[in-house]
Amino acid sequence: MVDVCILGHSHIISVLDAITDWRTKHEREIVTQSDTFNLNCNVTNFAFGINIHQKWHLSSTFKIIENIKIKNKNNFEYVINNIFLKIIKGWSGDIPIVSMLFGNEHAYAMINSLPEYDFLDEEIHSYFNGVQIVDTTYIDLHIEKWVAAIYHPLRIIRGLVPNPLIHILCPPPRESPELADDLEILIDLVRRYGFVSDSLRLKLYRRYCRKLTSALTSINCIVLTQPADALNIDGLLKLEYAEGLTHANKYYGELLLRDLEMLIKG
Amino acid sequence: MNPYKNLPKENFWSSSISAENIIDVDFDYGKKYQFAAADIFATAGSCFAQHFAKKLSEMGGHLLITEERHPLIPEDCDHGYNVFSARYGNIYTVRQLLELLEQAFGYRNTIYDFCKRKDGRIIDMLRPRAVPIGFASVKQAMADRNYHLSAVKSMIVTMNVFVFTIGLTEAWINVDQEYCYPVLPGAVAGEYSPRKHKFINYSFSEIVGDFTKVVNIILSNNPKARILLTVSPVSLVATYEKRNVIVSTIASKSIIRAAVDKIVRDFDAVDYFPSYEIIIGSYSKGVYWAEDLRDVTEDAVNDVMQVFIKSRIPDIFHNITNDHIVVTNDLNDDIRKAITKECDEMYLDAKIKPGNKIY
Repeated sequence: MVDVCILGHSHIISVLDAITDWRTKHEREIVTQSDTFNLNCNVTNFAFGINIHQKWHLSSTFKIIENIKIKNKNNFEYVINNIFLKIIKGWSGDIPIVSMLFGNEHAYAMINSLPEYDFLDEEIHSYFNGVQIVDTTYIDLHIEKWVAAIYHPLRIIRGLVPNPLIHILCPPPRESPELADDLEILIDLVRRYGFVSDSLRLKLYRRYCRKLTSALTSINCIVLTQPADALNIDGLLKLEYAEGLTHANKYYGELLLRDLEMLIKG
Repeated sequence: MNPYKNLPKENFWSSSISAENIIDVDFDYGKKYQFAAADIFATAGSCFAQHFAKKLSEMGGHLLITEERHPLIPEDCDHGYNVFSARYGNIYTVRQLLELLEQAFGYRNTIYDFCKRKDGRIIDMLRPRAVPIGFASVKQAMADRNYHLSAVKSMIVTMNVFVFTIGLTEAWINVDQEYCYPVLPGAVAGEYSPRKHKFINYSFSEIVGDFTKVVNIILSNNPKARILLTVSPVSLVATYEKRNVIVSTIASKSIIRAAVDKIVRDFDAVDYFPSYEIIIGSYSKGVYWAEDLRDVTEDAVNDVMQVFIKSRIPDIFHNITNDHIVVTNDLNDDIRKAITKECDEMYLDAKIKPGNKIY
């Protein structure tokens, strides 16, 4: 048995569902309860055990903490307050702390509401000719805000407790977003503007993941990447692992738990 | 019989200067055409063209912008958009304009000439002040140059009126490929090298030849376009000729003015607006010169534009009066800055003067 403590926002639901069919039990029909997947969503923390047969279960200490948030001077919300800190301190020890905090900050970037653009990425070299190429300096200004939402809470945790710290990256953009049955909070924007190209969605996401990984690695936080089996050849989330427009389902959660177990057991 | 006898009063000095207000002097008498309020203007040229574009827009003219700030780019950073119709920065010589258009329309290969600034940003040597913040990488700079050229092409085929203000005959060129820089390499960015860079002072025939090619490129891609030329009244900040800068200024402006006159006579689509004469002519009694006697004041820009609007876009002029043209302190500051600080040439001066910093 391996114990872990998990905290996260809506992306954690794929893992919870993989363990207990959690949403059915808690009468939540959709991933994004209260029509929001964003920074105002609940922080969930719980502990659970895993064994080698992947018989996952939630421990009796499982609980949900509602509406933990704080705004910084840029009006950007971080999950930092006294209740949060108290919980984290209570986890102090050698049990790994697994974060699935935030992760959907990049979702608005998939909406085609801006004049056409592209940018040059160090790893994805292709770009559209004839459209405005926005300097990566400005792209990074936006990405850094998305990174900060995760980095700062984890930096504080890192300073508070000695536990191993693991962050699970949010799922990549899904393939065929137009087929999503639930357009979540973006429903009006999608209907009005549609989506940017797959390549731009993916490029933004990957750059975000790289920046986040770099930031988290610097504070000795291990980053768990997306399960390869859930991605198509381009790197988009396969339909069978997607839920709604921006989330993954319990099958994705199962893959995550498999990878998490492998990571923890070394 | 005296052939002058029945000529209009504008043909005579005494009656021309008898008007009390400058707005009442018909400097633009003899013009080939007027514009409608709906006409779409594109502007390019020297520092003076910046003010022309800005004031034209403020007074209700329709200024075309084909290269705009993307919403992802912060408004308050030094991005260089919206100074001209596209982000080419100051274009001082006709050769510079010709090479820009040739690249935009694919008549010659794109010129990629970049340097790395001390802060690590990449600067396009063909428009070093047009993108003050520079680029993150050479690839980024190349991609932006490609996009810039497509915006220039779009501008030429879309506009109705192209206003070009010519400033200089002196320039520096790349020795190997003979393309023209807007300002001496090393003055704003990069490094001057006698092996790589050569001084040139374009002659009357060279300017006329370049002008002819420019007009042909524009009209072959936009047959209904009209081209309005002006000459910058701003004096040279420095000359590389072995003569006094004042002498070079007069020589340079005279050559440009003569070349413009030739082109205006050669092409029906090309006309001249006498902003140069309004400012340097004796009627103004020198009041339009700034303290350094080189730059022009904001009053000069305002008066020139009023004459222009009254003469060329009467539809707009009827809708404005002097009272409506409010020049706020902020605006004055903007114009003053633009006149005194945003000219590439000023960097040449700064470079020459010991102790002045250039980034």
